[in-house]
Amino acid sequence: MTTLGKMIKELDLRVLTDAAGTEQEISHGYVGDLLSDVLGKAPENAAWLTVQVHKNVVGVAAMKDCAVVIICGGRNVDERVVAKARDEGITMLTSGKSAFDLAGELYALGLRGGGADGSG
Amino acid sequence: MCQSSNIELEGKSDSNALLEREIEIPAEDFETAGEATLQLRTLLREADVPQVALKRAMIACFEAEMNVVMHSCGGVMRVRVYKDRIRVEVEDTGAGIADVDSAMTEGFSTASEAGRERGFGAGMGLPNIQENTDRLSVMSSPGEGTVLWFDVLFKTKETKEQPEKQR
Repeated sequence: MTTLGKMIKELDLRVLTDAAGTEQEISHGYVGDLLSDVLGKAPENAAWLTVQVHKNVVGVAAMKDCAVVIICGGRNVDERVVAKARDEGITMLTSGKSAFDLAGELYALGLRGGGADGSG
Repeated sequence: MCQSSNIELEGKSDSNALLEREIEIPAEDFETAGEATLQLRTLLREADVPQVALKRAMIACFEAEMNVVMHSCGGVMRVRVYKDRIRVEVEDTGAGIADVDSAMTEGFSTASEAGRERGFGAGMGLPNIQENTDRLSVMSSPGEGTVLWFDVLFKTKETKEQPEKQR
């Protein structure tokens, strides 16, 4: 468990949308670029790590009530996608680091995988 | 392919429904894909639909909408809220599903490259719909289209045991 604010600071994440709710607690994480997998398996209130940067990411994040979406690998995100995330109240962050490295750092901050089987 | 449909897409109103809404889904428009479900989510949130049922229904709706976008010539999503359940009907015209049993199997996919590139079409859509619904029916006529409906019940065991987490 960590807060959004601490996550942004410790992992040096860039905020694409508004950085409101930095005290929000985040307990879980999920890594996935296959959107149906994320829809089916990601836990609620998760930090979702992905390299997908199209608009459907926002829809999936909204359906799963993701706490934040972290775009990994320094991928550029189109402003229309960022605007859509703002519209839907999704916090979108970005980093030049890989999903692997970011997941490791989030684990060290106390996030766990959780998921459909209830583990973590 | 898209001119050969014989499936009627006329809405059928039900006076027993507390709320009814029909939204069109354009084909092959990935830019707006998901919009129908997002609209429904806003509507159902305002309608005081139980949270767990709402989340399950929306995951199923999103997958169904993506299927229409990827595999059909367009369709319509019709949602009705009753006192004990959400009923969603999705009708599309186009290719249809040649083998429904295979399509229900995780991993079976006939998706286009465009769908796969965006992280869909891994053969998880219909299994995800099945997982998040309490009743599901898929009827398809190859070359004509597909009619899918599902119910998400409000008083399931899951609804009682998994209270809504606040964001």
